[in-house]
Amino acid sequence: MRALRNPWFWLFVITASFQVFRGSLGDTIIFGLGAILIAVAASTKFNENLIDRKKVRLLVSLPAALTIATYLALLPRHSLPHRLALLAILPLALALVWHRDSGEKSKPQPSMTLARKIWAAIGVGLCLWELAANIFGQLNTTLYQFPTISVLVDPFMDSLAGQAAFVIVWVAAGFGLLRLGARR
Amino acid sequence: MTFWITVAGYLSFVVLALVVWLYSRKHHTKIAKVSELFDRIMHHRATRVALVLAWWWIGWHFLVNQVKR
Repeated sequence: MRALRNPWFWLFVITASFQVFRGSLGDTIIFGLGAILIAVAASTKFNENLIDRKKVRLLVSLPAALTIATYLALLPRHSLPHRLALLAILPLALALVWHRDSGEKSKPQPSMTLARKIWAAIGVGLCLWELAANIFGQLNTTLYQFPTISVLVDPFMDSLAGQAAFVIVWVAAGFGLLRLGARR
Repeated sequence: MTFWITVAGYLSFVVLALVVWLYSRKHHTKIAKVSELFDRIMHHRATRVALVLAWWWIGWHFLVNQVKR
């Protein structure tokens, strides 16, 4: 099975297992379903283009992103409108990246191999640090002696400015990830 | 004490990422730029789906979930 050889599949399986340890049922379901979706994406099944990103005009995607950012920045967090917005964004974002791979990858340049190794090391290192903080925090039963990123960032989002700053960064990251602003 | 050690750990990763990002912008023949790296890793559908899910979850975690603190 191709999924078993895919590192993203295992990353999501491990994260889902960790959410069980955290006692977060919702996140366990999200990462569990995510792992299944990645397994399907790694296979040759449903190998079709859903939405052609190149046909999504900046004239449509940019105002849509700004509307989403304004909506999420101004309405109170943890509310039903936020839940509904996030639930609506997910299938749309997935549809934008659910398309056929464009053939085999070319051999990477040494600069690309080095960049991949360095960024992977930074990403894995940060995840392990956060994981260690979470485990020590749970064993210690206090959240402040070994704070996770969530514990540190969340209080800043209690203010409108903090919430707006997070939303702007998050929407911009998604916009970039979906390559909606990329030159054709 | 452990609080500051933990925070210092996070900050060192942020600083390291900033240094690598700035260096790669100037010397992209030695380390590929982040945008070039993303173009390459987004080649496979499973990677694209995984990154979108991870990005979406961050939004869900902070905007919808109640973070314990």
